[in-house]
Amino acid sequence: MVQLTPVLYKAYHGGHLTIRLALGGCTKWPFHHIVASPNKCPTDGHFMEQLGSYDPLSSSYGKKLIALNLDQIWHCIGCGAHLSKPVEKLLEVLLAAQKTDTEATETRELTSVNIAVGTRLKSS
Amino acid sequence: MLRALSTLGARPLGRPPTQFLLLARGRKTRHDPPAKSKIGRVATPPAVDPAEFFVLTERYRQYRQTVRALRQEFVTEVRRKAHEARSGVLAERKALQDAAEHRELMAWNQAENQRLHELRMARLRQEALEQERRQAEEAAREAREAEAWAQLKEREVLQLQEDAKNFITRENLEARVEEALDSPKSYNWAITREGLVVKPQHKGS
Repeated sequence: MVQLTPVLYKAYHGGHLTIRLALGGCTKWPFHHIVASPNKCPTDGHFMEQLGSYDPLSSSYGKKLIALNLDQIWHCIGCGAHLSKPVEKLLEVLLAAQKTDTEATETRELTSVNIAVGTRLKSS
Repeated sequence: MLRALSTLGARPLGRPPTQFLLLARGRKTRHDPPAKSKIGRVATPPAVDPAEFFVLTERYRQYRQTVRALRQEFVTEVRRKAHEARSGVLAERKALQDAAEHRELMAWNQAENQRLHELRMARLRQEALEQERRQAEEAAREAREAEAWAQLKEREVLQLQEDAKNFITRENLEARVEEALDSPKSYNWAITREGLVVKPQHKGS
């Protein structure tokens, strides 16, 4: 039996950091934490850092509450983190890049995002 | 065949019904042959509108270009920050300050050690003096005790010499015996609890 050193382990197993939504809450009441965690971990498992939260049920007149630690998100992306599709959708308003025209109209008309930026969000 | 299998569970057979297969969409496995109604079927992908396709590809390209550019920006930012932290102006200044602080603290420590050393030497000298004084006192006391002991012994010896003059020897044995017989002594006395000697008041009692 051979145990691989960290370099070889990483080269063989791969895996990368991903910024994604981790589902929490309870039945009929979902709540998502925006979290930077390794690719191979389960979505709501061990994570490196919490970067915000997304509450899908807090819509007052079509608005949803999203908290984002932008400094830390840019830092994670700079360190080579991937983004999952929902996180891309949440951030495309900030990136000012809409994928398709239909999606752009959707985001403009149906869900006008109310972003509450937290500069120093600590992981819970 | 599957319908027959699924009805097995409904019939009571004396033991709990075991489910062999779940009823789900796409009930054929990969090893089952295709149906007769699907012989001449040709799978055609959905038609592509060229204009929409072009627009979509353009938009995806622009999106990915934007995202890639932003990602590169963030990467350069992180590397710049790491470089600054390692060997930037602020880092050097901080290193100099740390070195100066370290020197100051070491100097202060040295001074403290010196001061404590001085105190320790003074204390040790004091203790040495105390020790000498105590030893001198001990010696004096012992000398006094020895002298007292010698004087005591001397007094005892003198006392004994004086008592030896009244000892009974062979020469004056006869004389002493005659003397004792000539002087009668009365032992007829008692002593009370308080220590008073009680002698008989009159003769013959």
